[in-house]
Amino acid sequence: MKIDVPPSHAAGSGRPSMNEALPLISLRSAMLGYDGAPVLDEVELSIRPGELIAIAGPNGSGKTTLFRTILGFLPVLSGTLARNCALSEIGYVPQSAALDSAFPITAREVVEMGGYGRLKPYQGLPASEKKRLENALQQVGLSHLGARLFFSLSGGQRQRILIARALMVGPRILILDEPLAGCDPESQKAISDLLVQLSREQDIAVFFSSHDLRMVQSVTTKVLRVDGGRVSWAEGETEHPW
Amino acid sequence: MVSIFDVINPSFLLFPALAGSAILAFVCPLVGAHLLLRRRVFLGLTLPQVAACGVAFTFWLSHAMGFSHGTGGERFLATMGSLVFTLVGMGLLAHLDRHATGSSEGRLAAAYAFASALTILFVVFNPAGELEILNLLKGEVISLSIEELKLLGIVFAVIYLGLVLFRREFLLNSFDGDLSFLLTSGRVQWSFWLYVLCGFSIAIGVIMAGPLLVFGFMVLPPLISRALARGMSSFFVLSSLLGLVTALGGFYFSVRLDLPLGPTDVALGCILIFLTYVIQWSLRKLQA
Repeated sequence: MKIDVPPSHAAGSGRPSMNEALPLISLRSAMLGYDGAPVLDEVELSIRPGELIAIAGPNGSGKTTLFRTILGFLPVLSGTLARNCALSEIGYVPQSAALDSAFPITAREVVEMGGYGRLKPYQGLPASEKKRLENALQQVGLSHLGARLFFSLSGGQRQRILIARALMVGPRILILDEPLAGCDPESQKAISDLLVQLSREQDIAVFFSSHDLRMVQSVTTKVLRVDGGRVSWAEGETEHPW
Repeated sequence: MVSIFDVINPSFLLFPALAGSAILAFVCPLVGAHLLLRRRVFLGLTLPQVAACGVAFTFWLSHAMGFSHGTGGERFLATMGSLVFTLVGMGLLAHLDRHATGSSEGRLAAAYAFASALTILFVVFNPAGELEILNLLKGEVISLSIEELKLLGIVFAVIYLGLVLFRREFLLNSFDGDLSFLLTSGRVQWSFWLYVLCGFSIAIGVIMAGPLLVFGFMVLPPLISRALARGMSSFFVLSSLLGLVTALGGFYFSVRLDLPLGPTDVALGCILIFLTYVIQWSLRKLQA
């Protein structure tokens, strides 16, 4: 089984097409799992700059295992994983429900965390980082909510703040775990539009998961389906030349 | 009658004790804030008891080795006992959390009960050290000497500096360990270093002031602060300031009413928590 991902968005002029660009993430005949127990087998996947790829499957099917392996939290059991970008160039967006509401943290402080990798321990937040922070908040359309407590925001707003934090990293690839879960339809549309815009206009590779196949098919045509330990193209993509 | 100005005067007889509890009250809430946020607050209860057990053990050991009670060597051994028991206990609990099944809270509760029981047994074995241990358990910092105050000041200055310098790294690691791993490419074990600072603050704090006071200062100010803070910076700053207020107020009432310091500080902290939540509840009712 080969699940190399095809280009579907036209690349900007002067840039190499996605097909030519070196994959940022590449999995070859990979077996993935926890503590030696396989969850997914024979995974073949390449993610190139500017691609928008969704992975859909029921809870517990292995989506998170795939993400955690790509992010370096889990080793590949067999096969190969190649990353052509540093871990610090990956913008990871967890589910906001996975974060602990015990923290009296503001939305601005959450976004600021994305820039911590560039700061020395004793350093204050320089003007360039403040500007980057404002830009990230602006991109997700939540500049006005920066001073609000993060856990007082709605599910959709929290998700967009976490996307702003991932953008603050300066990512080449965004990996989002169920970004549309628990969001109202308006937030779902705002987040979907943002993901499409990031992949098309900023050449950021976007790889996100959902348990709702129909929902992800409304966002992108490149949809992987994961079930029963196998990853395959969702219906309509199986005849793709890649 | 002793006034608040007499108490904070450096020439006051009990000033070292006041300064000592103020240092503890200023720094311990910063450590406790992280434990609270990581939902590991019972670690702040169990580890001071383990440290007290280490002190009781070394008092018993020094008695068995023939040291006469009250010597400097005995005090040094007690500090080492507190430190070794705390760090070993912490390492053991971390190892079990990673590799054993069952609930973490259950292990902490069992460790607390075991350490408490051993502390009493070591005191029974060594009646000569009974008074010292009882003072420790009551949280008596009254007998703090200038040398001990200096040691406390140096150790807690280092801990404070570590927590302030690496505040971003510790915060990120507590809030979202996955992002912390990605941004550092997994090079720095921030959790480990946070727990090392936590272990040192508990071990040295317990030998100077006892487990009750250390646990009280670690947990009560952050609990109040969390209800009031509007952001992480204000949460940490407010935690330290509230600790300081509790220490000064508790010391004043302790001297004025001739009460043991540890329980007075802790009772005052609990009253402040109660007042905070009652005021917040009343304000919400008024706004509704």
